[in-house]
Amino acid sequence: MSMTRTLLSFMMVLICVQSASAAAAGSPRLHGSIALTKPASSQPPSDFMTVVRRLQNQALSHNAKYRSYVGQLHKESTSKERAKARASDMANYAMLFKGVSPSTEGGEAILKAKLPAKNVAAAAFGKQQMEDQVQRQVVSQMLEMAMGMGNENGAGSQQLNHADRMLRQTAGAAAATASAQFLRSISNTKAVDATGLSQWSAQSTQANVATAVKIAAGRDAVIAAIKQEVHHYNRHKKGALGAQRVTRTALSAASLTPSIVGPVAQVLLFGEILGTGGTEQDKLLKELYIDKRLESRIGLLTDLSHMAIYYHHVGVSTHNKVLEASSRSLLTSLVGPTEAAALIR
Amino acid sequence: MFRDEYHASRRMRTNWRFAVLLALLVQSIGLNAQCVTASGLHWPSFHKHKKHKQVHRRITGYISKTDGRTPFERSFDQLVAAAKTRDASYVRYKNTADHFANRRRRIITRLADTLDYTLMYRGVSPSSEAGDVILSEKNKVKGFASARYMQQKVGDDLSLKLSALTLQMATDSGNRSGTTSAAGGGTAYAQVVKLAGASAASKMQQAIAELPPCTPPAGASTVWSVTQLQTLVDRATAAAARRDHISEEIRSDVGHFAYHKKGTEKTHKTVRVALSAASLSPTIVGPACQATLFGYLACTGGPEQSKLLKELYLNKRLTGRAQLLSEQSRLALETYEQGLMTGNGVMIAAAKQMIIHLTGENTAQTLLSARQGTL
Repeated sequence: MSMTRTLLSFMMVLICVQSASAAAAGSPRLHGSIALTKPASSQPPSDFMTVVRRLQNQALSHNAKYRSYVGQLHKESTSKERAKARASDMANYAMLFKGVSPSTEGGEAILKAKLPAKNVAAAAFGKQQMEDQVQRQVVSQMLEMAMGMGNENGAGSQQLNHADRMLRQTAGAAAATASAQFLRSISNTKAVDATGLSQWSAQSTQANVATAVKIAAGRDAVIAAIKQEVHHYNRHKKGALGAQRVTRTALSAASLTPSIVGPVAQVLLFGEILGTGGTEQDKLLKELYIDKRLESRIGLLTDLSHMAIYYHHVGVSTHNKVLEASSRSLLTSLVGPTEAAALIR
Repeated sequence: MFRDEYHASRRMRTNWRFAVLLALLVQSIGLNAQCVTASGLHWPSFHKHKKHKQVHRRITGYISKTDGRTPFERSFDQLVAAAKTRDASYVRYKNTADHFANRRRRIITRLADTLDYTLMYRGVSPSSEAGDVILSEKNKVKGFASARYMQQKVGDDLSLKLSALTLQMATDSGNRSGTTSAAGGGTAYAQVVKLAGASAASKMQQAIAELPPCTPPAGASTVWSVTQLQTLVDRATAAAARRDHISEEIRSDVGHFAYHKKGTEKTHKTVRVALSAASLSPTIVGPACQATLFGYLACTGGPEQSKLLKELYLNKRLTGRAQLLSEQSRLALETYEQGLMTGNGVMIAAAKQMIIHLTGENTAQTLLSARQGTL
C-alpha cells in the first residue's frame, strides 16, 4: 500500500491538570484532558519548504560535524555550564585574565578562521550556518530535478539524473524518490502559458528579490527567534538604562576610594553586573555570533528568492511546467500566496 | 590562510620601511641617486668619483600608467562615484566618518572608551547599541565605526541598483523589438539619470553602445543547470571578494584584532591580571594600579568591549559587501544566460563586462566558458 495513500490518524492526550493544593482535604480538584486529532493527508505535502525541511533533516542527520554542533549546544546550554560560563566571565571582569582573547575570538569568527569549542553562541552559529548551507543545496538540487523533469529536450534526462544522484548523496535514496514524487504532484498538467510573459529584466528582478526577502524575513521562524534573542539586549526602558548608568558609575567611582570602601564597592559592582546579565564584553561577543546567524539566514533567503523568481521566469519562457510549478511553490512557501502571485505576475 | 597573508603584508611593509631607510643612508654617504623627473623616470645613477676619471651612466626610461579597465568598467565606476556624490545621505555619512577619523577625535574616543571601562558611565548602552545595529532598528551615528558602516551601506545599495539598471540599459539597447522595460516609473536610462546625473548616464550609455555585440548561438536553451549557476555565483563572489579593495581593507582591519602572536597575548594577560589584582588592594596601591591599567588599556587599543563593538560594525560591513558582490554576480550571470536565451547580443556583452569588472578577465573567461556537465 502506498505510503502517501495511507490514512494515518493519531491522538495525543497532553495534559492532565492536577491542582497543587490537591493534598488538602476537601479542596476542589480539576480533571481535564486535551485531545488533538491530526488526520494525515493522503496527498503528499503541498508546501515546497516542508519537503525541503524533511530532506534537510535527512541530510543533516548523517552529518558528523552538524551532530557535534548539536551535541555541543546541548551540553553548553545546561544551567551548570551556563553558570560556569557566567562565573568565568565575571572572573575575567575582576581579573582580566582573558587579556585580548575576546576581541581575537570575535575577529576569528568574522574571518571564518575557526569557532571556539566551548561557547553556546558559537555552536548555535555553526549549527545555523550548516543548516542554511544544506537548505540552499537541497533547494537548488530540487529545482534542478524539476528542470530536468520538465525539460523535453535531450539535456532533460541528463539534468534529472545529475540532480537525482546529488540528492541521493545529500539526503539518501528515499528522500530523492520522495522529492521526485512531490515535484510530479505539484506540476499541473496543462501547458504553461507564456503569452503574457514580459521580457527578462534585471531591474525588476532586483526589485522583486528585495521585496521577497523583506516579506520572507518577516515570516521566517528562525529570524523571529533571532530577533527575540537580540531584543533581550536592546529593548530596555529609558528608566532602566538610566538607573544602570547611575548605579554603575556610582559604584565604579566609589571603588576608586583608597580605603575599605573601594573593595566593598567593587564587590557590590561585581554582584550588580552578575545579576544583570554579565559584562558588556560578554554580551557583545554573543551578539556578534547572533549577527553572524542573522546574516547567514538573510543570505539564504536572498538566494532562495533569487532562485524562485529567476527559475519561474525560465520555467515560463521555456514552457517547462515542472520548473514553473516548483519555483512558484518555493516562492509561495517563502512569501505567501498573495505576495507570490504579485511578484511573478 | 588569511593570517599568513596578514603577516606577509606586515612583513612587506616592514621591508619597505627598511628599504627606504637604506636608500636614505646610501644617499647620505655620498652616492648620488637621481629620481623621477618631469619628463619620465630616470633610474638611480651612480657617479663613481675617481681622481681623474668619471664614469657617468644614465639609464633613461618611461613608465606609462594604465589602470587596465575597459571603457565599460571605467564608465560604470564613474557612474557609481557620481551617484554617491549626488546622494545626500551618503555625503552626510562620509563627512561624519571623516570628522571622526582625525587624530584628535580618535584620541578623545579612545579616552572615552577607557573611561567607560573605569567608571562604567555607559551602563548597558554598548550591548543595546549592538542590538540596534544587528536588527537595523535604529541607525544612530555615534562614532567612526558606525558612520563608516552607514556610509558603506548607502553606497552598496546604490551600487546594486546601478548594476541592475546598467544591465537593464544594455537589455533595452539590444532589444530587437525596440521595447524598453518601464519599472519604477521610467526607463532604466531615466532612473540612472535621476541617480547619477545626465553626464555619467550618457557616458555609460555610450560605453554600452560601443560594446562589440556578441553573437549568440542559434536556438540556445538554458546555458547552465540550477546547481551549476549556483556554483558559478559562488565562484564569482569569491573571486570578486578577493579583488574588492573595500573587502580587503575590512579584512585587514579585522586582522588587526584577530591576529596576535602567542607571546603578545600572554603578555597582555599577565600584565592585566597583575594590575587588576593589585587594584583590589585597599590602600593607595589600588587606585594607582587602576590608573596604570587605564593608561595601559588606552595605549593598547582600548578595552575589549569597545573593540568588540567595532568588530560588530566591521562584520556588518564585510557581510554587506559580500551580499552585494553575490547579488551583482548573480544578476550578471542571469543576464548573460538570458541574453543567450533571447539572442540579445548587447545584453550578453554587457553582462560579460560586468563579470569581468567583478572577477577579472581570466576568471570571467573561465566562468563563462563553463557549460553543462563541466562543473
